[in-house]
Amino acid sequence: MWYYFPEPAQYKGRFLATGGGGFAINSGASGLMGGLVYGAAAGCTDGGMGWGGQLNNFVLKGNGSLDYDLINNFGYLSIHEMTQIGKAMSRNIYNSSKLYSYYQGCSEGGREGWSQVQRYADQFDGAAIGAPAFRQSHQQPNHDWPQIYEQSIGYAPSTCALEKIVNETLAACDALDGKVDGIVARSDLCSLHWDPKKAIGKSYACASSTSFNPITGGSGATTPAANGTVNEKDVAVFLAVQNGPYDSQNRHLYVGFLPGTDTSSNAAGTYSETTGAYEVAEVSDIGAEWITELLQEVNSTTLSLDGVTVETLRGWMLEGMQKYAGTLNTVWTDLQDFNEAGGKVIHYHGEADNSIPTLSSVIYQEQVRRVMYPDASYEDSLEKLHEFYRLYIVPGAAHCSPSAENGSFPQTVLGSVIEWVENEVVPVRLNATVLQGPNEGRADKICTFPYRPMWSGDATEHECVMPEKDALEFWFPVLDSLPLNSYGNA
Amino acid sequence: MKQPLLIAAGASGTFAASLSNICNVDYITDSLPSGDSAIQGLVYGDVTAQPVYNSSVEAGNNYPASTGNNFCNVTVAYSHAGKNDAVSVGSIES
Repeated sequence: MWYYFPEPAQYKGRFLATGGGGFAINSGASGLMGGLVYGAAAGCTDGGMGWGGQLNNFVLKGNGSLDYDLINNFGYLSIHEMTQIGKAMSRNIYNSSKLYSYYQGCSEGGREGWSQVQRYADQFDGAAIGAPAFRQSHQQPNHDWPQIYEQSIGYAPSTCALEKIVNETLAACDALDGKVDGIVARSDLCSLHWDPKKAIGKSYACASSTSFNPITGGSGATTPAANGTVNEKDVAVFLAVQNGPYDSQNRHLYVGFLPGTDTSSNAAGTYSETTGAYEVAEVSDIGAEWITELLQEVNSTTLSLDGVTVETLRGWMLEGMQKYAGTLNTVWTDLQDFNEAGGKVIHYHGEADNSIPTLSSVIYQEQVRRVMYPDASYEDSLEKLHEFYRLYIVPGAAHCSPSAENGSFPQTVLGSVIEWVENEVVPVRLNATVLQGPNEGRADKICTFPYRPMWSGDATEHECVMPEKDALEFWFPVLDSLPLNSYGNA
Repeated sequence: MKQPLLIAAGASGTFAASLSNICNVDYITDSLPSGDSAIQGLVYGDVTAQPVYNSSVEAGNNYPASTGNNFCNVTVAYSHAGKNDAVSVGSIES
């Protein structure tokens, strides 16, 4: 375990637990420093893997032999132990029993936050959770869906063609929130207003470039200049990724990404010098490792898609649900004990996240609402839910980071949690800041979901409005492929 | 049951210790939960404590910038009784 304890004069009676990302259980010093900013002692753990350890590199004792202790440690136990010890040390070191305790993490770190909130009701007074990588059973195989789909139709698009469709989407949907700023801030309205098939026939032109895949972190081959027009197959791939997989009986298997999200790096083919065409790319590292190491228990990081169809993908998701329901899936939906203990959660997710679907967060919160308030009206149940658990969809933000030049990000989200817990300042709108570009430093406010932004006239601030029926239903797709409700374990 | 050797709070109730008072292996080791407050079956290993002065935090996506931070950089290793495992025994990459 690794802790930062501020000098007594800088200590403000707080402890902060932090988590990791990808298959890592900590973010090292960059996570701990988030505590110093708020006068909090802060901690993280290596989960028994050594600093820098990744779950997939340690989880196999040998082929066919999964280390279940490690799965449980990584799943929830190590962070719990680090927190219990860190809280006790904080009380002892500063000789004060008064202590507020918090959690902050994004992506896998977000999943780890939920693993604590769902299990240990009185451990944290508040949690700042971003884009959680929970429902791993679905999340990880879903990384492979673009390549599986492309293999099924025998076609892979160029980055340039996919970016053209994204740009056309932006042009069509930017103004739907009442403000033209280069951001699709109403992906729900965009889904009703814009059909990507309208991009067919539009011409695109891109200079040569060296590709970078933000999911794998690797650089690809140099892509030659691309010129052409968007064709039906380009759009078919784009829509398959955006809508998420449907099984062979046309039942919805899992969610995809929101309109306006740049998914070109998820789905672009690899240019072949020999054939002069784009071929289906290798699946992402994490999308391969989950299948080979966590499901098949084979010490290999290479996944062949030979013979793999959407039905194979469905099988992987079902297998993952059964294997990791109690550990890595982290979608327990009864938060009554946490609520009664007085805990607060601020959960945020970029509207343009192309790694973890924004809808993954939305459908989790929706299932919590249904489980906890089955007899209340929609409005009444939201009011009760928002007393302790609020979700914010951050327009223009990508995975755990800002993306669009004019887009803001909730940089002080832990500060907002602290204000809610210690001073009862309810984050009806979440403070955010533009962190880049010509408007760097500009303050913004993010609406509590399902309320969504709408600008009118010359207003200096947007309203937060309840979407109309069709737009609201867009957020809660029916996933009817698997026998269990994929929204959670109700 | 071991009792931590704690520095007494002043008459005002404020805690007036300096970083060097709290940031040493003996004091940190004494602060580890023991007896009834310890986690069952957990065995502590090596403890390190190193003071860091005037540290700056660059702004990130999840926190604003901060300067002049003084803190104690601590590691604690432990294992679970009978499991022959070890958490946090590697060298720190910071």
